[in-house]
Amino acid sequence: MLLEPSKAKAKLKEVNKALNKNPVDVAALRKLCISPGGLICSEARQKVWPHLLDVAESKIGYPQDLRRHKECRQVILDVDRSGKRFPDGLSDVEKEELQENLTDLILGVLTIHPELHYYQGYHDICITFLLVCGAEASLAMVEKISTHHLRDFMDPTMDSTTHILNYLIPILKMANPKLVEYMEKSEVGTIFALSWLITWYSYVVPDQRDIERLYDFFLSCHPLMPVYFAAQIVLDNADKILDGPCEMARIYQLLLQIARKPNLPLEILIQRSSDFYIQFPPSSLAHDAAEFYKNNLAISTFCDHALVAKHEAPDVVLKRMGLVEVKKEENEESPTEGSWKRASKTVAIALSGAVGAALLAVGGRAAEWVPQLFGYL
Amino acid sequence: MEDKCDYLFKIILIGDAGVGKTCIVQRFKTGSWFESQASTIGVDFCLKTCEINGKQIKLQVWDTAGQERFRTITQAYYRSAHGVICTFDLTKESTFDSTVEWMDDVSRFCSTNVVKLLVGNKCDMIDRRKVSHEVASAQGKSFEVLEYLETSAKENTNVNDAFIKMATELLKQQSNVKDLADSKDDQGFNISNNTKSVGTSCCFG
Ligand SMILES: Nc1nc2c(ncn2[C@@H]2O[C@H](COP(=O)(O)OP(=O)(O)OP(=O)(O)O)[C@@H](O)[C@H]2O)c(=O)[nH]1
Ligand SMILES: [Mg+2]
Repeated sequence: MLLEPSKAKAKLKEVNKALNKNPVDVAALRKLCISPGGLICSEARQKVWPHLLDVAESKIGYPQDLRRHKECRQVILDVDRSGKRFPDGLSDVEKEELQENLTDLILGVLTIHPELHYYQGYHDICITFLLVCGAEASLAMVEKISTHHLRDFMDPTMDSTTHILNYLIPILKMANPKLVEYMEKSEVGTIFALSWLITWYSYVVPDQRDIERLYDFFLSCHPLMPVYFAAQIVLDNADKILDGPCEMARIYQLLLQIARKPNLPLEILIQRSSDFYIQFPPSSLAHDAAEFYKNNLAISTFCDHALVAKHEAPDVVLKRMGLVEVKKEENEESPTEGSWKRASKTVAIALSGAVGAALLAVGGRAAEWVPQLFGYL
Repeated sequence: MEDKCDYLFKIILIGDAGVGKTCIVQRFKTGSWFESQASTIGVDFCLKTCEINGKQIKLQVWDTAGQERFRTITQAYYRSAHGVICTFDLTKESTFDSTVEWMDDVSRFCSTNVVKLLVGNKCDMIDRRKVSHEVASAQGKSFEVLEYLETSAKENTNVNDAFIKMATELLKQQSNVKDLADSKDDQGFNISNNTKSVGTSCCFG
């Protein structure tokens, strides 16, 4: 969904205004990233993204001997298969150069940070930065998100990633308990959303402009926002999920196909994700996510009993946060496009902006923002 | 669209990254070859119907990511699989060596009567072959696979065959089960005697 030309122009003006402030008004930029249309065009993104990640002044360079990295083989295997993401009309020489840059970018970050482990899908995120910001500027940015937003995905194992994925269930439960019951009965799990999460949707969303728009949003928010967004995709299709046999394969395939549709209503989903984030912040969901994790057959469960026992019941948390009323209100009026309230939108944007800024300031990773769940890992 | 089927089998593809699992699945599903297939992230899924001995067979094919770190995740899909296709790249010895570990996972997480195939892919690259037919075939025997096959997704060699052989064996296994105990719960293999789920479970895709 594109903004009307007049609105887009006005927005770009505001972007420039924020960029020209001294110091740059990052809070204003974050709000512009979240509100409809995001940063509008790649040119704006190229200028703004470094500020969102606080690397505008950074001067890190590519290390030497990149191709000696132990993950080099796996990286090249994935880079060689990333042609689908490249813009149309590139010559073979240009394609090759882009692939070289991509390999260097990935191995560059991995070499600077030996504690980070490469995963298939990381290359998809790197492509987005490369296409928007070029090889030089991308290194500092990708280095930053890799040590923050993506940090948990880059552990030696996928355990933390699986944990994070499980936040999907309590978020869904808040909005549509019947749907969650149905999904749990089908044993569909949460793995359908794995590629959504760890590639920030660039593995599935077909249009590069849409991917960039989503990155505006995610770069301005809490690292768990991609999970809130996943929940909105599922909720948006609750009817289709419920209208059919309660079978894992059917639901799994349905969800895979939904995210790949070219006309995902991005702006609506972004608004709803922000709204949900405010109403049900990660701390209020930790208990449910842990419980789901415990019941999930697939994964080892070394610490989950302690987790669940030590944590308060979720409604206690909600009451303390004064959120129970909000929930009731939401139930009466289902959170559809029309009912999305102006007031809560402003709050959502402001707070997401603040959280995003704070996150980078303290250098936390997603896990540290949800101590109830992750403190025991 | 009425889409009738008599049997539903779940088949999972495993093997190292880049051996050609997704190309094999795409070749089987669409009949075409896609040069620039993206790496698989997590677990992909597709459906294909085929006819064997006059029976409509629906195959649910689960295509998994090959990178080591995804293994703990894909293992969850082994449990309900009726068939496993363990794939390696004939031109890369390391992918053949890994089949030992992949098959180890199979014996740990799959049901005991799961039907196994060992597939050496990229047989079109004759001059780059690193694993001989004899060695791979012997390895297959030690894994107790139904058969060892050499395929090329690129040149469409043996791809259909692999799935048909798998399905035929599963069908045979199924009839044996039925002969032995008609009343016994058959793990949901045969969905034809449950008319309610026939249409629905076979109509998506
Ligand atoms: N020559 C030749 N190349 C093949 C064949 N099958 C696949 N390839 C190539 O091998 C590469 C990897 O194929 P994929 O199907 O993506 O491999 P995969 O096993 O699905 O890999 P992951 O998704 O990473 O686990 C691709 O670049 C294909 O072009 C084949 O039969 N012959
Ligand atoms: Mg694949």
